[in-house]
Amino acid sequence: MACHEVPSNTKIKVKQRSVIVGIIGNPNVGKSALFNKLTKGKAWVGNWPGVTVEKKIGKINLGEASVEIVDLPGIYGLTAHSQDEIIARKFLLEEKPEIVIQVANAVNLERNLYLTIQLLEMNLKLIIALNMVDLAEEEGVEIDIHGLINELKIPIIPIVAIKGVGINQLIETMIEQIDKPIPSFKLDYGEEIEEAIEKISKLIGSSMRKLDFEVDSRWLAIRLLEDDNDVVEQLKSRGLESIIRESKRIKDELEARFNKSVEVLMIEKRYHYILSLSKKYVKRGPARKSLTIFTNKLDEVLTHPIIGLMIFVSMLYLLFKLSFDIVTPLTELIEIFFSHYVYNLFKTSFLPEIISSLLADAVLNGVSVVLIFIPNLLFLFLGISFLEDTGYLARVAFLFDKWMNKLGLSGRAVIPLLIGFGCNVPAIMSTRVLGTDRDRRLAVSMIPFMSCSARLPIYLLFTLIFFKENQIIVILSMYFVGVVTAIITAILFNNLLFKSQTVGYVMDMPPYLVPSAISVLIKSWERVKSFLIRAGTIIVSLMVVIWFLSITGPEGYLGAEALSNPELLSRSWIASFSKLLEPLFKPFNWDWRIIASLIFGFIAKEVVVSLLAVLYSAGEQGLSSVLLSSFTPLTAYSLMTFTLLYTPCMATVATIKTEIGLRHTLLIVSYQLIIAYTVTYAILLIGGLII
Amino acid sequence: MKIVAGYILLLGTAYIVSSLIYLIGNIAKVEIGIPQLLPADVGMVFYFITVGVLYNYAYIKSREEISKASLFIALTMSIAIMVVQAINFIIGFIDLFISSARVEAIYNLTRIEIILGILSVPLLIKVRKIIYE
Repeated sequence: MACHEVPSNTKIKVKQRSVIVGIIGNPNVGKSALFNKLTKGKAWVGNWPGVTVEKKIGKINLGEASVEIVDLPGIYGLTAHSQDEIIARKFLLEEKPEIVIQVANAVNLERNLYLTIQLLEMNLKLIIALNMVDLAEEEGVEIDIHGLINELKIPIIPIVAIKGVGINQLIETMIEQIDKPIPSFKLDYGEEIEEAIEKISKLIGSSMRKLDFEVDSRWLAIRLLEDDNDVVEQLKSRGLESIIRESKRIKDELEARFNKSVEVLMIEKRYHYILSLSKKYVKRGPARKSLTIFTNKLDEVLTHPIIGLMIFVSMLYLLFKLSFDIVTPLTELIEIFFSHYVYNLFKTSFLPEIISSLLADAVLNGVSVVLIFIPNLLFLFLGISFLEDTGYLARVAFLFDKWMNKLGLSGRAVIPLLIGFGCNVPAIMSTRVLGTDRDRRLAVSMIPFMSCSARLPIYLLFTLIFFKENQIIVILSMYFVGVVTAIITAILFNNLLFKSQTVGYVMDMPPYLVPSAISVLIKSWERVKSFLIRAGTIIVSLMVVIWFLSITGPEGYLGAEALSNPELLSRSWIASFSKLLEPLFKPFNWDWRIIASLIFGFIAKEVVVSLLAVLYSAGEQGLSSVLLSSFTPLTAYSLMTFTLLYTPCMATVATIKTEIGLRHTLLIVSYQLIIAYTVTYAILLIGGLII
Repeated sequence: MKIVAGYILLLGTAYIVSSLIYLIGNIAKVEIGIPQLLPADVGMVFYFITVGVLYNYAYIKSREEISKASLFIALTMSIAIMVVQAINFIIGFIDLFISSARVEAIYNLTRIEIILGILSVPLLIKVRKIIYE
């Protein structure tokens, strides 16, 4: 827990209590930078209840008060259209934070004031942290902060979050505000609308108690006039249909009078007010050092349809090089340490055979499967967080938006999908950069079809034996099959599962900034830690289950030797299960040994090759002659396709489960098995007709 | 200004020539030049060509006014790949203790992207003012 010293000139004592503070703001205004400065990097990440949007919480001590700081998702308004807006509003209504800090961008203050008005209308104790005042100054933007404070009657603190400027003053203000009353705010919507608001407020009056949250009846009336689905549903579930009916009647009357939607009228009023504030308190002079001009010039190149694409591919190459190529020695080091030193230590220990095998073959293998990913994940997330904080990812999203929109995704999804070619685990974790839960689920459903590097040894083995002449073309065809299946999956899922959830969104182009090293490090570490804790436990448990099913069989305990002895392994539960599945794979002409290899391929796809060698009683060198006698080029190709499409490795499955929940994981795994079976069958049928 | 433009041309050409030698060598299946002075793989060839195009675009534009954006991105990309290779060198050095990669690790320090990246640093320092203003 981080502890801030209460600034010495603070006269108000904070009593011993716990306080909740919410940090809110538009996307890319520096919320996370402020959150990190306030919590001094000591925070934990969870999920918002029921969804998989990250929830960051940090605790600090202010005097005698324990303050819980919650970083809310970036939003433009509180109209509950997108999931982020729903989460933020639910938090503000139900958790009733004592203080809400709105981080606003001083360079574009007007754009941030819409959210300010909505927050003030909710009767919250608001503090505005006016961020990037240094950049605003360079841009020639002059803000009359005192004038704005007098107008809005809320504290406004100029800060530069990334450099830590103004943070002490902000903390001081937070302490002062804790016990102060909430100032009232009322935006005048004009005589007719005000009359309507009052009528509906009176109607709501005594029914307020029936609601889940305490809220101002005026706010509720405004929301009803704006056709807020969430509020309507709340009222319906409490049997307050009469209020909905009456407010609809009032709204219809107003619309008939103005010949315009009430929602539009109210939005216009808010913007009119923002414009008047801007005219009075924001002055734009000549820029001293214009970041906007520089940003626009960079955008001309970075979002250029050809040069921009070339730069993006190059950046992706750099990211791959950093996270898959360069870290190989580190991964090998971990692998050697575990599979050699520690493994032998357990194996030669004085413990009984079953215990030492459990520790070495199951637990240790599970732990090393988890730890092997750390260097890749850490470097990949360092790269992604760096690009995210510079503002480059927003440009990538823009570059690919048109294409990805056709699949029902935002442009940002292109990055996780491409990372999937390296490894599916970090790809699934990097879907966290996607704004909505729906986008994440759709992208996660596509990623397992991206042929990861672990599947390459299988392709190499089979193409070397059966397609020596056309090795590259056959391998490329695997990638092609993967991509086409992913696209079909996106179209299918988008139309069947997520159609009703499509949400329009605003794409914000933040200015290019040099990221803060601490912010990048914290963000990356949080993501790696989340994988270690959550996916790690699932992987180790699954490893133990597979180990147990391999060393035992219908005859009982077979001994740890079964893991390397094909004769013993053929009497295990895994073999029995594979034999049970044999009729299912009869059309493919696959015997139980291939099925068992595929089951073990669930641990890691690379294992398929070495297990085929063990089960066919051939060394890896002699495997080619065994395979040549058991497979034809067509059955080999069908096995390659099945390996590409069937359920991904358990690290990927565990990551999917922790990222988007069990239900969707089961759906994806079953869907993949069906697709793999169908496509393989189709290949065999069509191939059989041609050849 | 002329010196800066000449320097940009030199860097851009170096990236493109190095890529072309790699491609010719690859198609003809012969080894041309010193491998250390060529991109390591096709991905890096693409990277080099992009950087080369950006430098040359900045040079061509320099007759009117240097394309600050292209130059800035080219410099950043030059330095970025240099940093990645430097990390490669540091991590590769760990190999010293577990394998015989000593020579390879030190050899990595003489790679073309490290040399060109280092050559880009003084240019970035020199033109920093032009770029930002």
